[in-house]
Order: sequence, then structure tokens, then C-alpha cells
Amino acid sequence: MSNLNFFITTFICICLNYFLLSTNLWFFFPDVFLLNVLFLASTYTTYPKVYFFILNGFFIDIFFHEIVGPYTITYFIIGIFLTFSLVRWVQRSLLIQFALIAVISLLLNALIGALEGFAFVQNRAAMSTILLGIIWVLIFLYQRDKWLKNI
Amino acid sequence: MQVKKLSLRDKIETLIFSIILICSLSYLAYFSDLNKKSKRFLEMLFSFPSELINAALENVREFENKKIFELEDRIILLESDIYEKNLEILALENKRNFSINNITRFNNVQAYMSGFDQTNYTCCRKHRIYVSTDIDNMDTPRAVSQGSFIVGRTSSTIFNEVEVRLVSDPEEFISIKNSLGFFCIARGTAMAQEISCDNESKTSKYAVGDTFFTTGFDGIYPEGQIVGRLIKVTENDGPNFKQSLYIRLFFNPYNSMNKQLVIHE
Repeated sequence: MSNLNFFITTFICICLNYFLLSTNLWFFFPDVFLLNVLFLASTYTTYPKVYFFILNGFFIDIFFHEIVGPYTITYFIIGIFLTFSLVRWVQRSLLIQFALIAVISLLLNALIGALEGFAFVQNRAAMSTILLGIIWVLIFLYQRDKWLKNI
Repeated sequence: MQVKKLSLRDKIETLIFSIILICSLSYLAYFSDLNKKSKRFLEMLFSFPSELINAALENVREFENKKIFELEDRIILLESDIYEKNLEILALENKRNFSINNITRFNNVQAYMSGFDQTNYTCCRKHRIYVSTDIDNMDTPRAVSQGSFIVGRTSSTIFNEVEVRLVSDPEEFISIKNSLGFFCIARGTAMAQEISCDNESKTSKYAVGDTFFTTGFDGIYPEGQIVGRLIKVTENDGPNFKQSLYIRLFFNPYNSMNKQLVIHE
């Protein structure tokens, strides 16, 4: 994925997230930015550099939070993980993928909770994590055969 | 499809530069108040389409309201038509002509029922309605009717409205007859749409269902106006023969708000 495309998809996600927040659907919806990264990780063979992950996270933070932090740190960790990893994301087992998604989602919600108050993300942390997991399981089941052929 | 392997040095470099980048971006955002500006920008960006949508929705709402008002007006007109047609049917059923012009002796003035003392009508012995008319001087009592149906008599002028005492008011008396030649003077019972009169003659002919008309003997109500229908006859106790006749009036004030009335001068 080119860096420009990464920025464009992030901006689309920013718009979508704004819509979700303004309609209160944000609390019952999987995190769109993590979903975007999931699609990115499963669709493209090359990933942007860590710095672009950080920049994208920074852009998200400046639009939605008082200080730079939650998404910048989360994207930094995701970028580090994807770049430093010796195997591709899709090559990992479903259980590991699911565990990593859960860890990242909970970490992100914990960081948002630290900023906005934990009551704000109390239900959303679990809801978003479960929904992300379900979506990833569906993608995994649907794409697994195709990935195995290409690996 | 293997991921490009990074050396430890590259990894450390990447980590250090990443941390420096994060710190610099945080500092930049803090220093230039970037978060607040970006938030505001996003709000402004989305306020434009939302304003457009709101304006469009407002237009649609206005259009719908306009349509609703038009339809409501039409419904009111149709209801009014239906009401008048019903009166006409009722008048025809009672073999009278629904025409205000058949009373030639009187100068008829049009009026509209503009108010109704509902509280007193339902609870108490005061049955009054208020009508709006062009007549300024209302010193003498005048009969008020709705088409061929008698309503009551004027009593006083309050502000710009004329107070009309309904026939069902207990202070109101009216001379009535049926088509079989039975005459009596009826009085309001203080019940809604009801008057009663007494009969002490065994030869009188009447039956439940008879329609009663004004006789014109009282000098106020014009002759031949429809009053109501006999609904009940009760036998009174006592040594002498005496029956009470209860007549249901056709005029219903609940259905007559803003409807046309006639004042007979």
C-alpha cells in the first residue's frame, strides 16, 4: 500500500469516525481505524514504514483528542509489530491474530479511557474488541484459502 | 512471500527515530494548539453538509406543513359541508325545508357561534353560547336558530359577542307543538339538549318519536322551527293524570362551534 493511499484511507476513516461519534454509534461500532489497519495488514503485501503509521496516528489524535497519544502510540506499536515481524500478519494462526487484535483494541481503549475517563469507554472497550474479533474471524475464514495459495 | 528482515541496528534506529518523531509531533501539537484547531476544522468541514441537509430538510418540512395546512383547511371545509348537509337531511326527515328564507316575517341576520360555556353546560343550570354578529343593538330578546332548528334566545351583549340562552336552559320557556295538534309550553331541564313539558289531558295525541315545532305563540320564536324529538314520556305520581314529555333538541352546541346561525329580528 502506498503512503498516500494510507493517508487517504485514514482520512476517510476520520470522517466515518466523526459521523459515528456525532450519532453516538461510536460506542456500538468496532474501531474504524483498527479495522482499517486490519484490512491493510490482510490485503497488501508491503506495509508503510513505522513513521507513516505514527503520522497517521498523530492525524487521528489531533482530530479526536485533546493531546497526542492514544492512536499515535497504538499505531506506533502496530507499525513496529508489522515491520519488525519475521512472518506476515496473515501467516499467523487465528488464535494469535485474535489475541493480538484483542490486546491492541484493549490498549487503545485504555489509552482513550485514560484521556476521556474510563466510564467513557467502559462498554465500548469490550464491544469494540469483540466486534473486531468477529470481523477478523469472518475475513480470515473467507480469505484463508486464497492466502495459503499465495504464501 | 517473506517479510524483509531488518537488522538489529535498523530496528534500534527505527525505534529511536520513531520515539523522537512522536515526541516532536506531541510538542508541535501542544505548542501550536493543533488539536483544538483540527477539531474545529473537522466540525466546520462537517457543518457545511449538515447545514445543507438541515436546510433541505427544513424545506421539505415546510412543504409538508403547507400541504398539511391545506389539507386541514380542506377537511374543515368538508366537515362544515357535511354538517350542513346533515342538518338538511335532518330537516327533510322532519318534513321541513332547510331554508332560512321561509321565515318571511322576520329579518334574519347571519351570525356565527363564537363561544360556548361548556363548563356550565355540563355541570350547572346555565346553558349559554356566544355568537358573533354585526348587530350592535341587542336590547330586545331575539330568537336564534340554526337553519330550521331552534337554538335559543339572545339575552345580552358581552364585549362584541351576543350571549344566547339555549332552549335547554331551565330559565327558558318555549311554546311547542307536534304535527298531531298537541301544544305545550316546554322548559329547559338543565340537561344537555333536553327540554320537557307537562300534559294533563288524556285526549292529547303524541308518541315517542314525534317531532316538535315552535308555535310562534311566545312572540319570540318564529313559527314552524324544528325544536326536537320526543324521546321519553313519564307518568307523574298523584291523584290527577299528568305526564311529563322529554324532548331531545336537535341543536348540539358541541358540533356547532364556528357554524352559521341566524338571528331573527
